[in-house]
Amino acid sequence: MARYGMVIDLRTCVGCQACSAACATENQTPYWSDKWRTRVLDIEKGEYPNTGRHFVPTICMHCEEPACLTICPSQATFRDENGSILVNYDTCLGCKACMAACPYGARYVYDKNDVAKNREIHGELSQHNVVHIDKCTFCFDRVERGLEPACVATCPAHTRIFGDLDDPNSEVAKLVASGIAKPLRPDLNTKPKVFYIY
Amino acid sequence: MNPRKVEEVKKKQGSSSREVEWVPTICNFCSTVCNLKVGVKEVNGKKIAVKIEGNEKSPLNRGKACARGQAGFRQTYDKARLTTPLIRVPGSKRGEWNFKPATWEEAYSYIMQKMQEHQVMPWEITMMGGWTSCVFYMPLALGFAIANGIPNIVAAPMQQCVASGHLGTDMVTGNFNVHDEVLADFENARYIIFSMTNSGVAAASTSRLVRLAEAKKRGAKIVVLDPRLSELAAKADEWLPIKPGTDSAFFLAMIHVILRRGLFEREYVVKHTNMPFLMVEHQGMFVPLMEQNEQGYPKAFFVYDEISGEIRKIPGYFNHNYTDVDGRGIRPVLTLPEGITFNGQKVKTVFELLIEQSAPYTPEWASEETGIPAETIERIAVEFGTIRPAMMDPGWHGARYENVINTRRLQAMLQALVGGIDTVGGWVMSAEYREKILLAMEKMKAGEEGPVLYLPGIQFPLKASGILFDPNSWYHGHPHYAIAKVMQDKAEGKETIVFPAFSDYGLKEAVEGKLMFNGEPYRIKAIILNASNPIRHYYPERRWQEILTNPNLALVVAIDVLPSDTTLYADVILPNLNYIERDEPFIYGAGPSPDLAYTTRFKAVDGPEQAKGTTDILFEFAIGFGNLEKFMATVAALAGFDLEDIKQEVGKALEGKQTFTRAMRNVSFKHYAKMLKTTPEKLEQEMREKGVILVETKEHLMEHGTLLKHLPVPTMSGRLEFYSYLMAGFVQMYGYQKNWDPGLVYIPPETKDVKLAANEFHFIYGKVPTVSYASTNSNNPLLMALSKVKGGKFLGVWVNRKKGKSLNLKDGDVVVLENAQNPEYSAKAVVFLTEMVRPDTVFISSSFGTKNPLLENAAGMGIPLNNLVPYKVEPFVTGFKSQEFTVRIIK
Amino acid sequence: MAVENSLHFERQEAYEWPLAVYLLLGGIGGAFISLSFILHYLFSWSPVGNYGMLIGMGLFALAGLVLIFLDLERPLNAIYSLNNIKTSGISWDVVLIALSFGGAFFYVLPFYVSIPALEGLRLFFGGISAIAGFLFPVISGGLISAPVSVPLWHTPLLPVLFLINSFGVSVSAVPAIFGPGSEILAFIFNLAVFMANLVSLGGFIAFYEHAHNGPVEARYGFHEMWKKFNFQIGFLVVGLLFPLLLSGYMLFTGNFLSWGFGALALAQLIGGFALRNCLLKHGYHTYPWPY
Ligand code: SF4
Ligand code: SF4
Ligand code: SF4
Repeated sequence: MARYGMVIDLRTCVGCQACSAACATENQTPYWSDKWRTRVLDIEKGEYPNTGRHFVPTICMHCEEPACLTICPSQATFRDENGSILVNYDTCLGCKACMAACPYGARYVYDKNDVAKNREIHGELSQHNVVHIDKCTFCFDRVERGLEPACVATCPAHTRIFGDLDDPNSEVAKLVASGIAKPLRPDLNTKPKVFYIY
Repeated sequence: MNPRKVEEVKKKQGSSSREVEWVPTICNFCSTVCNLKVGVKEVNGKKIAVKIEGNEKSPLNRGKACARGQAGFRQTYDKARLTTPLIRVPGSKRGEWNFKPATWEEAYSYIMQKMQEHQVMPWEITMMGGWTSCVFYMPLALGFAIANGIPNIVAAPMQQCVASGHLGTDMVTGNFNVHDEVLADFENARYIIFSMTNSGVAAASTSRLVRLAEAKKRGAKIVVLDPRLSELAAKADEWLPIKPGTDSAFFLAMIHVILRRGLFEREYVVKHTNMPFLMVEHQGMFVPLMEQNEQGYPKAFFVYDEISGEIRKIPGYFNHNYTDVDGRGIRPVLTLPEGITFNGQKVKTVFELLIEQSAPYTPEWASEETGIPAETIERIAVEFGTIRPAMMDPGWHGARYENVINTRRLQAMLQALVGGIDTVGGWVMSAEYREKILLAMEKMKAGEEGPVLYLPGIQFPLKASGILFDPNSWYHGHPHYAIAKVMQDKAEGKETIVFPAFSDYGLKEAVEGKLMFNGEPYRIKAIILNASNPIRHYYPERRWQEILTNPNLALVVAIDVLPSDTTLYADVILPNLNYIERDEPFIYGAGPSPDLAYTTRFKAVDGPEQAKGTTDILFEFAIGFGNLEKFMATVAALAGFDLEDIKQEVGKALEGKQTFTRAMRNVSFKHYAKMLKTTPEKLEQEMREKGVILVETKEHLMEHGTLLKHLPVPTMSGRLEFYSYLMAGFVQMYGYQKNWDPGLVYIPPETKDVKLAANEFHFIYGKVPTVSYASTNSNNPLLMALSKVKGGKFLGVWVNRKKGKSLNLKDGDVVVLENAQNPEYSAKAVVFLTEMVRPDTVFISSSFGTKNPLLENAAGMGIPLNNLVPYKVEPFVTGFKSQEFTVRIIK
Repeated sequence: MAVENSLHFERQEAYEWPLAVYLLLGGIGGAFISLSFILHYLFSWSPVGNYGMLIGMGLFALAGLVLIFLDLERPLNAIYSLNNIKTSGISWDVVLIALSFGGAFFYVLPFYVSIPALEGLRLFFGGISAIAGFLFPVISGGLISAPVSVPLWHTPLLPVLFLINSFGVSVSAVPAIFGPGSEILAFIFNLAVFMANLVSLGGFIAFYEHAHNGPVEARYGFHEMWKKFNFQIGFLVVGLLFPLLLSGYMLFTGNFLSWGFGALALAQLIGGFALRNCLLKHGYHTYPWPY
C-alpha cells in the first residue's frame, strides 16, 4: 500500500513529447485519433520580444477526491490499493460523465474505430479490445514490476518524478513537503496527487 | 470495489513492456547515438518489437530516450517498407515509381551489366552515404572506396552540418569526432550560452538534454541567441532574439570586453594556449615566430619569459608553455615589456595581436550588427567572464552562413578564454578521443603512424580527405572530382574551394561532362546511394533532380529501408535491413561519451526476408568488382584489424556458413576481446546483457589523461590555438581570404544590407524534437501524430503576429514562400502567426517536406526546405549557405 | 500568476445532442407523470390520469432509449448503471426513471385490468411515481451542474431551469391534448404557465448574472452561447419570451385562444431543447494549467 504521486518540474520540460511517445507505446493509446493519456501543452504567452513559451505536461491527477469516480454510475472508475484511479474496461458504460466531470481533461473515449485500429496494429497483443473510457493508470503494471511509469522513465529532462507520497524519504514527498511542488487549483477540492513546480 | 476484484481487473490490463525480452541496440535516428534496448515479444513463433527504452547503463543517455528513439521500431512495420530488390521497368523515367521486383542475382547482374555497357571506370563512380555510413560503417565505406579505386565519396551531413559546424571549433581545440562532437559538461556549469542550436539540446539530443536539465535544476543561468523562441530558447533565463546570421558579432564583442577587462582565466591562457607565442613582423604583417620541419609542422615557438626576462624557445608540439626546449621552467607573458625585439625584428604576442584585432569590435558596434543592446552584450560578456564554470555551448549544426566556421571558432576561443577545455563544467572531450591521443603519442614516440581510423581529432578528416584528394594515392591518378573541379576553377582563374571534404562540389559538372581533368573529361557515370536521400537533404532539390535524371548517368543504385524521395530516381533499389534487424558488424566506442565505454547492436527481430545488411551488400559488390582481397586488406589496415581473422571469417561467409555482417562482427569481437583481455564469447555475452560496457570512468581517465593538463591536443602546436597555424597555412597556399583569417575577423551575412520589402523576411530553419533531419522517420505514424499535435508550429512557417496582420495574413493561410534573390526557388507553406519570432524573420522546420506518396504519413506534410535554398557554398569546406537569402511571402 | 491570465478553455466533448434530448424527454416525462397524478388525484380527471401517465411513461422510455443507444458508447453495459447508487447522478437518474415508470405502470394498470390487491396501493404507487417524476429534471440537471469542471454549468440554477421548463411544457401540453377541462382549470393552467415562465425569466436572469458577471471561468462559454442564433431565437425568443407574452396575454385578457396551449407547449419544447443543447454545447472545461 502506497500513495503514489507525481511531481512535474516545469522548469526543465522542453516539450519533447518523449513522455507522450512512451505512454502511447506502453499503453497502446490511440495516437492516430490524437488521443493521449499524457499531452504536453506548448503555450505561448506575452508579446514579442517579451514572449514566453511554456511546456506543460498534462496527465490524470489521480485525485484523492476524484470527480470522475463520484459520478461514475458503474464503478468502472475505481481506486486501487495505492490510491491510483483506474477504469475497469469491462463494466464501463461509456456514458462519458467522468469525462465531463474531470477538471483536468484526463479522459477520452477509446471508441470503436480506435479498438479496430489498435487490433490492426497490435493483433493478438492488443491491450484494448472493448470500447471504454481510457485514462492514465500511473502505469501500475510497470510500478508493480519495480519500474517507474513509462513517461517518467523516459523523460530526458527529469521533469517527471514519481514516488510514494507517504514515504517521507521519496523525492516526491520531499518536493511536496518543501512547498515548491504545488497542486493545480487546490480550490477545486479534488486533492490532486500530481504536483507542479513552476 | 473489493480488493480481490481490483486485483482481477488490474491483471487484465497489461502493458507493452510486460514480459518482454530486452535486446540492446543503438539508436539510428540522430547522431546522438543513444544506447537503447528493444523490447521483443514472441507471437506464434515470430518475434515482434513492442517497445524501445533507453539503456540505464548508458553513459550518454542515462536510460532515457526521446520520442524518435522510442518510435523507431515502427519502421520495421512500415507499410511502405522496401522488401525486395527492385529494378526500374525499361522505358520508365527516373523520378517515376515504376519498378519490378527482382532477385538479388538479377539486381547485381543488372548493375554489373550497366557498368560494363557504359564502361564505367572506378573513378566514374560516386558513393554517397548518410550519417549512418560515417558512424557505423566508416571502415567498410572508406575501405570499399579505396579498395575499389573509387575516390569519390559524398558524405551527407558534411556540407549541411558537420564540416562547417565542427571545423571552426576544431581549429582551436584540435578535436574532430565523426559524429557526434563534444558532450559538454553542462551539469557542472553555472552559466551557459547557446547560439544557433536547438537540435543540439532541446530538439532533442538526449545525452545533452539530460545534462542541461540537471544544470537547470542546479540553477545554472542559460542564455540563448536565436531569432525565434525555440524549445531551447524557451528554457533560457535570457532569450536574445538576435538578427539572423550575426552571432559572430556578438561573440567578437564578448572577446573585446573579456580581453580588455582581463576577465579570462589568466593562468590557463598563459599555460595552455598560444596566446603568449611571439609573432614577428614580416613584410608589414605579423606572422608566427616559429621553427618548422620539412613537412611544415612546427618544431619550436618563442615566448618572452618573465622570470628570466628573455625570449625563450619552447617545444613545437606540447601541452603547455611552462618549460622551454631545454626543460627549464619559465613563465611566459601575454603583454611584452616595451622595446622587446627578436634579432632586431619587431615582435608581439598573439594576445597583443588579438587585442589590436578586436579593437573595432566594441559592444556598440555589435549592437548595430545584432540588434541587441550594447549594455546587454557587455553585461553578458562580464557575466561569462566572471562566473565559473562558464560554458559556451560548442554548437551542433553548421552550414547556414558563410560565417559559421568563424562563429563556431569564436565560440571555442571564448571557451578557451575561461579555461574550459577538458575541465569540469567545460567541454569534456570524449573518452575515445582521449584514447586516440594517447595512442598517437605512443606511436609518435616509436616513430610510427597508427591506423587511419585511430588518428586523433582533426588529423583523421585531414588524412582521410587527403587520400581522396591526392591523385597520387590512386593507381588511376584521379583524385576526388571535387579536387578536379577546384583545379579547373583555378585554371580558369575562378574563386574556388580550399577543402571540399566529402563534398558534392563539381558533381553536377562531372555528370554533365563539363568537368575536365588532365585535358580529358572527368565523368561520373554511376552513383551508389547508401542510406542517403539527396533529393531531400541536399540543396536544392532541383540540382539533384537534374543530376539524377541526366542521361549521362548510366546507373543509380539506392540502398535503403524505406522508399525515400531519392529512391524515385534510382534504377535499382536494394532493400536494407534496419538497425533492429541486424547484428552490427562492429563494436563501437560510445559516441562522445566522456566515460570510456563500448557498445554494439544485437538483432531484435527479423527484417523482410529479402533485405540485407549494408555489410553484406558492400562485400557482394566488392566480389562483383573482383576486389575482395584488396577490400579485406584495406579494412584491416584502416581499422587495425587482424587481416588473417578477416580472411578466416570472410572465408566462412563465402562458403555460405554465415553472413558477411556476422563475419566482420566476429573479427571485431576478437579484436576488442584481445584489447579488453577477455574472450570473444564472454565479450558477446556481457554486451548482450548490458548493451554498453563501461571500461573506465571519466574521472578515472582524467586523472592521467586530461587534455592540456597531461596531453597535447591534435592542433599543430598541441595547445589551444587563438591564432590558427592551419589557417595561416591556407593563407600561404591560397592567398588571404577572410574565411581563413588565422586571427579575429568579422564576416557579415550576405543578407546584411538587403533592404527588406514589406513582405520580405530573413529566413531561418531549425529542428523539432519529433523528427530528425529530413529523414524518412517523418513517416513514422507515432512521430507524425506527435508532430501534428503541434500544428503550424512544426508544419508551417512562423510569421511574427503583428507583422503578419499588417500583411493581412491569418493563421492557416496557405502562401508561397519565394526566395527573393532567386525567385525560381519557392515552396507552399501554411502560415503560423506567433509572437515567438522576430518581425523581420520567418522560420520553418527542416524536418518535413517529404514528397514520395508511398510514404503515406509523411508525404505532403510540412515545407520542403530544399525547394527554397539555391546551390551556394562557402569557399572553405563547401558548407551550404542555406540561410543566406531572404524570402517573400506571396498570398 | 493572475488566474485570469492562465485560463485554458476547451469545449467539453463528452455530452452531445443525444444527452440534450435525453434531458428534455426525461424531464418532460417526469413532469407529465407528476402533473397527471396530481390532476387525477385532486380533480379526478380520469383521461389525464390514464393517458397522461402513459405519455409520461412513453417519454421516459424514449429518453432511456436515447440515452442507451445514442449516448452510451456501450449500450449493453447499461446493466451496470446502478453500481454506484451512492454518489453517481446517472445511477440516481436511472433509479428515478425506474421508480417513476414502475409506479406509473402500476398506477395505470387498474384502468385496464382489475387487480383488487393493487387498489389499496394505488395512491402509494402514484405518489412514488409523481415524486420520482418531479425529481428527475432536478437530479438530471444536478448531474450536469454538480462537477466543478465546467464552470458554466456549476450552478443550482441549472436544475431549476430544467425543472421549470419541463413543467411549463407539461402544463401547456395537458390542456392542449385533453382540452382545458373547465374554465377554472384553464385559468389555473394558464396561470401556471405564466408563472413558470416568469420564474424561468427570473432564473435566467440569475443565471445570466452567474455566467455573465460571475466567475470569469463561466463567462467564456456563456459569451459564446449568447452570440448564437439557436440560443437567441430558440431559447430566449421562442422558449421564454413568446410563452411569457402569450400566456400573459391570455391571462390578462381572459381570451383563451384555441391554439394557445398547443403553441405554448410547442414553443417551450423547442426552447427547452435549445436551452439544454446550447448549454451542453458551450460547456467549456477550464483547465488550470499554470501558464
Ligand atoms: S519527456 Fe519530459 S521534457 Fe519531454 S515533454 Fe515530456 S515531460 Fe517534457
Ligand atoms: S484527474 Fe480527472 S480522471 Fe484523474 S482522478 Fe482526477 S477527476 Fe479523475
Ligand atoms: S503514468 Fe503511464 S499511463 Fe500515465 S501518463 Fe505516464 S506513461 Fe501514461
